[in-house]
Amino acid sequence: MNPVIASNEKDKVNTINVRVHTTSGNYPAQGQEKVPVTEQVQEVLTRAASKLELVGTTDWIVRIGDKVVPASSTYQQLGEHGDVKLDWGANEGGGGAN
Amino acid sequence: MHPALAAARFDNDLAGLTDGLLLQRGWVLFEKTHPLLDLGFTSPSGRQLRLRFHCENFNENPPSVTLHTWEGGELTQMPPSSTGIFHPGRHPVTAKFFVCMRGTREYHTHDSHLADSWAAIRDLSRYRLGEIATQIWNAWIKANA
Repeated sequence: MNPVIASNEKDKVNTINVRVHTTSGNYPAQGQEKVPVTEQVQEVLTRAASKLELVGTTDWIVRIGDKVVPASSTYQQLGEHGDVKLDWGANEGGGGAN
Repeated sequence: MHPALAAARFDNDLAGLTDGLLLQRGWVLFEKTHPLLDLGFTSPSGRQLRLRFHCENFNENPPSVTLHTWEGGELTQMPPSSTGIFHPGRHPVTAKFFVCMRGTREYHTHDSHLADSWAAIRDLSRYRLGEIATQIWNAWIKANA
């Protein structure tokens, strides 16, 4: 195999394209961020929080599709590849005085 | 609060309500024009809930949230939620059913919660307008999936 093509294929396997969606905006604002599949989801959420000036997000939840996923997982552990949209937002509010 | 500042805050807090996010969450945007956010939630099982966020003077004051049928009428029976945010009784001030959750005007003006100050929490990111909607949605979707 052509070494350049082989290198590109390896890159595709080892990286993933991620975008974080929140009600306040997206990270990155345009396009996606390429990250290693071995990176924890939390890493990009931390960068998104910084860019979107979000504070107090420790109890927020992140979904891929309609499934809530642990932010401590890596994309590899979640079986994700290619393009991933992370839907990130505040968890349910407590009723009454909760 | 100057109306222009309130409008800017409204737009900024909802800047991420893109078609992609709406589709992903099953949300339907009926209207997003300051001071009104009119938003519908749909679930995979076909359930629906429509909420109107009345955002005059936000975020000096929290939004007033009213519950509606999909057609826009007043909701007369509260849906289930994972945390009991949909109060089964009517609000002592508005006489309407209401969302009893931190971040709604009805919560902070209810006799039981007058000591729970909106001013103390309004700058936290979870009380941005879109995140108040997200909190309500998460409580609703978990009980109506």
